[in-house]
Amino acid sequence: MVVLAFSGCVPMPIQDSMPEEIPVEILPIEQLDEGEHHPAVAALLQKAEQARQAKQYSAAASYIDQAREIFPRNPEIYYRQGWLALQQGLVADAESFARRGLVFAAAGSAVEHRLKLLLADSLEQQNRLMEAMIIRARLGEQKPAAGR
Amino acid sequence: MIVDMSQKKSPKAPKGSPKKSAKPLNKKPFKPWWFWFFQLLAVLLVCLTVWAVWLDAQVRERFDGRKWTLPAKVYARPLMLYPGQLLSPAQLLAELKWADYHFDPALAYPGSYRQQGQNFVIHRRAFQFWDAVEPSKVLEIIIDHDRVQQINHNGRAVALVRLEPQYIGGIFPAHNEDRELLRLQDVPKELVAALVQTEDRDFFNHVGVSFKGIARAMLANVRAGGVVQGGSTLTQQLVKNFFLTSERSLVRKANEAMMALLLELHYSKEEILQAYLNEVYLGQAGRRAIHGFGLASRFYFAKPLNELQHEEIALLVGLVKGASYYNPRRHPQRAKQRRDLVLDLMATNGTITLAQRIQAQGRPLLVADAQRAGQREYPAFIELARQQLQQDYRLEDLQTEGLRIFTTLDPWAQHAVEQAANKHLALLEQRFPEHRQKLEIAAVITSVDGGEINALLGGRDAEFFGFNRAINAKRSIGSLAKPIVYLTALENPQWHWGTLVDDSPVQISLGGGKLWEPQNFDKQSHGTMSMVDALAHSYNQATARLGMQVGLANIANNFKRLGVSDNLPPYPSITLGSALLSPLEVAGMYQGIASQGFVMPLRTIQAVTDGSGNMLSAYATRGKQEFSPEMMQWLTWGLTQVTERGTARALSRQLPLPLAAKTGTSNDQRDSWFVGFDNRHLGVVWVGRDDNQPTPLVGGSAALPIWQDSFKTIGVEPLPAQGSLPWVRVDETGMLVGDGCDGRLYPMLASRVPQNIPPCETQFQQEQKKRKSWFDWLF
Repeated sequence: MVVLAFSGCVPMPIQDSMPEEIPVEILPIEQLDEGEHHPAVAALLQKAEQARQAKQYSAAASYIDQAREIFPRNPEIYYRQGWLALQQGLVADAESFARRGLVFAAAGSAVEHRLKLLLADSLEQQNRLMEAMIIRARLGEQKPAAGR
Repeated sequence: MIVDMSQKKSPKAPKGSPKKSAKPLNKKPFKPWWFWFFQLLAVLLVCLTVWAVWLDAQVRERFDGRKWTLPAKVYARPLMLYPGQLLSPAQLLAELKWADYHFDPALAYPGSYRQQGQNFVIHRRAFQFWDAVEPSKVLEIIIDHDRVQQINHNGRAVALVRLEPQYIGGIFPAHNEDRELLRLQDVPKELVAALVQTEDRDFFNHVGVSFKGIARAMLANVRAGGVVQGGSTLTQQLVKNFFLTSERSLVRKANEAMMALLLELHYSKEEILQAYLNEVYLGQAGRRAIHGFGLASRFYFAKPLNELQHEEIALLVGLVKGASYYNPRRHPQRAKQRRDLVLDLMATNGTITLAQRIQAQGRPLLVADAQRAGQREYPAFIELARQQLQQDYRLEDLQTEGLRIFTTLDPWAQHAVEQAANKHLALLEQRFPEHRQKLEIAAVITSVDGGEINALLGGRDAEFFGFNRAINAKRSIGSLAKPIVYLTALENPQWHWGTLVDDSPVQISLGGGKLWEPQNFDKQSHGTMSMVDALAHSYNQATARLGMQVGLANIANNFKRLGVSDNLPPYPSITLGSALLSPLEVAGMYQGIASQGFVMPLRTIQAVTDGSGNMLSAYATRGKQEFSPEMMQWLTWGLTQVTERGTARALSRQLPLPLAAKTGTSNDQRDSWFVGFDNRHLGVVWVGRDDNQPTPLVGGSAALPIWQDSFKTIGVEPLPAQGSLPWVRVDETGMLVGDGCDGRLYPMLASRVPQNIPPCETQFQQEQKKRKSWFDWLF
C-alpha cells in the first residue's frame, strides 16, 4: 500500500475529514475567492473555495498553489495559502506563508495588516506568545490603508 | 483400482522356474501386463491430477488477482494558458507536438490543432489531472508579442485553461515492462477481428488448444521443410507470455497446453482476449518494453487506439508475430509486407471491404518518430523525482501501483538547455579538439519564487540512464562561493558595497608552517577598490582578505543557512570555493538569494494520484524566510554588476537587461560554472571533465554561453529595479557623503543610511586640499 506519511519535501497531507476547524476569529476573509483578482487567479481561487467547502483541503491547497505559480509575488495568494494552512492546523506552514506574503506586501496596505494578523495567529498557536503580542501591539498602532 | 497384493497368499511357482534355495520360496505371484498397465495408469492419473491442481492454482491466482505490475507514469507540468502569459508561438507549437497533437484544419478529433500566424485553435483532449477531470474542448488561443492575448471557447473568453502534460517516463520495475491497460469494449472491433483472423482463427471455438490448428501448422511446416507456422492458440500464447518462460522444451509445451485448457475452463473468451491485448509484447523503446496494443498505438502512431486507421491496425497486428523482426522503423519493407498480408486477411474475412483494403494497402508505412518528446525519457529528472518521491512512497509502490506522478518539469526549458548544451559543447570541442568527447555538462533550471525544478541535465547525453552529474557530481565551486563572502560582509554594518577592499597579494597562515597564497586569475594585483568591483571582477586576493575579516565561521554558517547540508569546515579556502557541491546543491544555495531570502528545498513533484485519479498528495512550495528580503535585494544588486561590468559582461551584450549572475572557475580550470537568474528563473550550468583533468575553459567562456542560449529560448524577464533600497553616494575612500559630492551611487539598506550624512565639502575646499597636497608633494 502506498505510504501516505509525509516528510522531506513537505507535501500537504490529505485531511479531507478534518476533526475540527480551528477558529480563526480575527481573520478578515471568510472565503478563499473573496476580493478582486486576475481572472485566472480568480478562477483558481473559486475552485479552491469549492474544494475547501467540500473539505477537500489538499485539492484546495493545490489550486491556490497553481495561482501562486501564475503570480508568485502576489501577497493575497500567500495570505490565502497561510489562511488555509491555519485552518488545517498546519501552523508552521501558516507562519511560513505569512512571512513570505509580507515580503511582497506593500507597507501599510490592508493585505500587510492581514498577513501580520495571520502571522500573530500562527505564532500564538505555536506558543510563541511574546512574538505574537509584539506584532499585535504594533498593529494596534497602525491603521491599514483602505482597499485590498 | 489399486489392489494390495501383500495381503494375498503367493500362488504356486510356475513350472520350470529355477530353484535357487532349498528353503521354501515365498514366491510372488505372476502379475499380468494389464495389472501393471492399470497400476501405471493410476500413478499417472494421480500425478496428472496433482500437476493439474498445481497449475490450476497458479492460473487462478495470477489471473484472478492483479495481472500486471503497473509502473508509475510520470508527467511534465501541464501548460497553463491565461491572458497575459509569456508564451511564444514557437513554444506553443513545440509543446503541442510533444504532446502528440496533429495538424488538422478541420479539428476533427481531440489531439488536433490548426495555426494561422499567431492564432491557434486547439482541440484539446480530455485529461484527468490530479485535481480534476477536464473534458475535451476546442480552444482558440490568440498570441501577440509573445504573450497570450485571449483564450476563447465557444465564442466566450476563458480565464485559464491547461493543456494535458507530456508523458516523460515511468518508474519501472527491473523488467521495464510498460503498458497502457485497455478494456475490450474500448478496442476497435476491426483490431480484434484482425488479430483473431491472423493469429488464431478458431479462437472462439477451441478449448484453449486447437488440434486443428496444430495439424494445419504441421502440414504447413512439412510442406515448407521448416518451421513456418506455429500451432499455438491465442490462449496458449497468453499462457506462455503470462506464466512461462520462452524455453523450448516438451515440459514447457505441456505446461502451456494444460494451463491453456484450465484458463479456458475458468474464464470467458472475452476475458482471455482482453488479457492478451494488454499482455502481448509489441516493441522496445530504449529500456522500456512496450506491451499491449494501447501503449503500442501511442508508441508507433502517437495516438490512442481508437483513432487508428485500418493500415495502422494491420501493422500492429502484424507485429504480434515478431515485434523486432517486423519493426516498422528498422525494417519498413518487411513490416509493410506483413501489414499488407494482415489487410488481405481482414478483407478476405469481411472485416474490411475490398475498396478499404486497396486503399489501406496503397498507403505508405507512416510511423511517428521514436525519438519525439512524447516517447523519449528524461532520466536525470526522473531519477531526482524518484528520489524525492521515495521520501513519501515505497519504491515497490512506485514501480507497481500504477501511480500517476505530476512533476514540475517544463519541457520547453528542458529543450532549451539540451539544445544549448549540444551546440556549445560541439563548439568548445571544435576549438579544443584534445577534449573531444571528454567534456561533460550538468545544468539545473528552477523557478525563482517556487523552487520548482523546471529542467535538469545530467550529462551531455540527455537520454542516458547513468551517472547523473546534476545530482551526484560534487565539484569545486570556485568563485561561486564569493557572493556568500560578500553576503557575510554586508550583514555586518561595517561593510557596504562601496567599502574599499584590498586586492594586494595575501598570505594566510594555515598552521603548521603552511601558507595559503591565493592569486587572481590574471596573476595581477589590482590595489584597492570598492567591494562591488571586487565581486564583479571576481578578484581572489580581495575576497580572501575580506573573508578573513568577516570570519570564516560566519561564512560557513551562511552556507548552511542557504541550505548547504554538508558541514563545510571553516578553512580560508572556503572563501574561494574549495567546497565541493553538486550543481543541484549550487542551485539550492542560489535559490535563497534569487527568492529574496526564502530558503526552500528544490522540488520536482507537484502531485501524485493513484491509477484511478484520486489525489494522494499535493506538494506546495515550503521554506523559511532565512534572510531579510532587503538584504538579498542588496546582494542581488552586487550580482547584477557582474553582468553589467564584471566577468559576465559578455551576457549583457546579448541580453542587455538587469540580470544577476556569477561566474566560477576552479583551480587549474577543472570546473567551469555559471549561475544566473532573471525575474522568473534561476539557472546553473557546469562544464568539466569526469576525470577532473584541467581544461582551457572558464565559467565565462564555457558555461555562460550555454546559460545565455537557454535563457534566450526560455524567455528572459529582467530583474525589477531595487526600488525599496535607498541610494547613497560614497566617495573614493568608501565613506558616505552627501548629495552633490563626488562619488558613486550605491544602494544601501534603509536601516543603514545615517540620519546625518556629513555635508559635502565645497568644490573650493576640495581644490584647496588638492593644491595643498600637490604643494606638499613638490616641496
